[in-house]
Amino acid sequence: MTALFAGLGYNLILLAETVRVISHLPRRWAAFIQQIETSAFGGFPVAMIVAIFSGMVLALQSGLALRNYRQEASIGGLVAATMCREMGPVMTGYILAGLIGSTMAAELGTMKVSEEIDALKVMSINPVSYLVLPRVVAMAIVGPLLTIYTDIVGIFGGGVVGKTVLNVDFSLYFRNAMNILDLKDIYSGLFKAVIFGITIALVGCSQGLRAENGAAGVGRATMQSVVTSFIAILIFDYLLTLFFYH
Amino acid sequence: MIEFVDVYKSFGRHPVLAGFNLRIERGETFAIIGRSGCGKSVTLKHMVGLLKPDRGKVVVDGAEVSTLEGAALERVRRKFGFLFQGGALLNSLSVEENLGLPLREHHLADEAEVTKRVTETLELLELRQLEKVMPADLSGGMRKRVALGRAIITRPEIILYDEPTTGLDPIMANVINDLIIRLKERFKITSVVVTHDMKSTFKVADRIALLYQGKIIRTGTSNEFQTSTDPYLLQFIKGTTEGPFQDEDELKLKSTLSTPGGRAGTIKSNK
Repeated sequence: MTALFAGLGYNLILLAETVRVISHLPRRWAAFIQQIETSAFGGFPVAMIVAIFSGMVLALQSGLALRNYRQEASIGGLVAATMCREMGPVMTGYILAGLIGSTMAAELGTMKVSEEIDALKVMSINPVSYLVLPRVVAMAIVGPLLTIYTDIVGIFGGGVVGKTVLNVDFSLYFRNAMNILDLKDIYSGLFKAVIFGITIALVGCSQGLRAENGAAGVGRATMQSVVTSFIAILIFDYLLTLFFYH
Repeated sequence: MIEFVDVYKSFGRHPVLAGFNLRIERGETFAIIGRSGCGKSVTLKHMVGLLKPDRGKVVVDGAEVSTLEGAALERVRRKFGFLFQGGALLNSLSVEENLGLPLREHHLADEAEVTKRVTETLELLELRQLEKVMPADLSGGMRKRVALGRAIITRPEIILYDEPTTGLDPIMANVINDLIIRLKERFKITSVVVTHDMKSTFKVADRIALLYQGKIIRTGTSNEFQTSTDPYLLQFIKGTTEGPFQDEDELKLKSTLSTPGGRAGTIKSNK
């Protein structure tokens, strides 16, 4: 329990310090762009596969159930709303936590155990400004961008199932999706994606910066960053859903 | 100019520094020797505020480093260059980017001047045409020399060397030793060298201190250490297993090692 609160405290302090040095971002522009490239290009292929199959399964399961009530034509709205509100941001969050958050933890953890972080401090270079800030801001942007991509691909996947399995025309599917989909569905999902992105980057960086005891410690930090990010996404997802829809 | 006053530091229940007192004067090359794991690197890290003592104080040029934070600590750190044991080069940056990092980050020079200083530093270190090479592609000796270049490029007043010759072949170790001497002669730098390489120690050091059981138990000049008949020094310098140094697990803390007031004994000359 002590370790849990210590970790939470460290993350909050890291967040506060990152916000304090936000004005340093222009100096970190090259690193920030590199992080955007790594996160986005790293996440796109996996996001496409996960999204298309998630949309297809969602359409199939819900469509088959709705068919009992001759309401299969409604799957467009159901898939679109579910993807935008929940599945898009959450799946994107899990993908980024597994791919990018773990990479951040491993990279910073390796730097920590090989004294590169200490070297930065001795050179009076703030490690939060130099390493954490570009990563957090990059993920705050990549999170929602990748979520938009995931939403679109997932909705499209649902449309393919609608046409091929449930005999729901694409035009009917997408018309239903547009009728049901609310602006709130979209912005609530994107807001979640921003929060998830920031959380994943902070958790990855904080685990890396606290790594100890060589390669074993880096491995532990990497694993812990994924686990902690997954749990944090679930908790924030619930709280934000409550906030937007209760 | 660097002073440790009754410093205590433990990690968990393991005491590393216990009543540690030391004074290093400006302009000298001071070596701290001792057994592996005795607290030599911990001592260096206290000087730059990477570690804070549990008790006591560390003073650098009148500033109590042990209590400083933020901008005040950064001002003290800018007096230092630090050669870490493994070099600690940033692996994502090339040799040129590693060397130029402190200059660019603190706007100490424009790009033309940075390029000039990087080239000069590489010349001094006998590393030419390596600007675009990544640290992973360098040999151990080259990495150490590049790391030394990064430590000196801002012209610091004090350089800390953490095991500068460990892991190097005898020829490369001597290259590093010669660089340490040349830097002192050329730039009048104060150097603190932490090592258990006695050959290097006797070559570069003006004064030497032996760290044992968390405190300095002997200090003296290089010549005094080489000619001493003190049993601790004899055992450490010769590397024999028989002698007053004992396995830390079997050892009881005794007060016989320390003179009254906790200050280290000085070596008597054999002349």
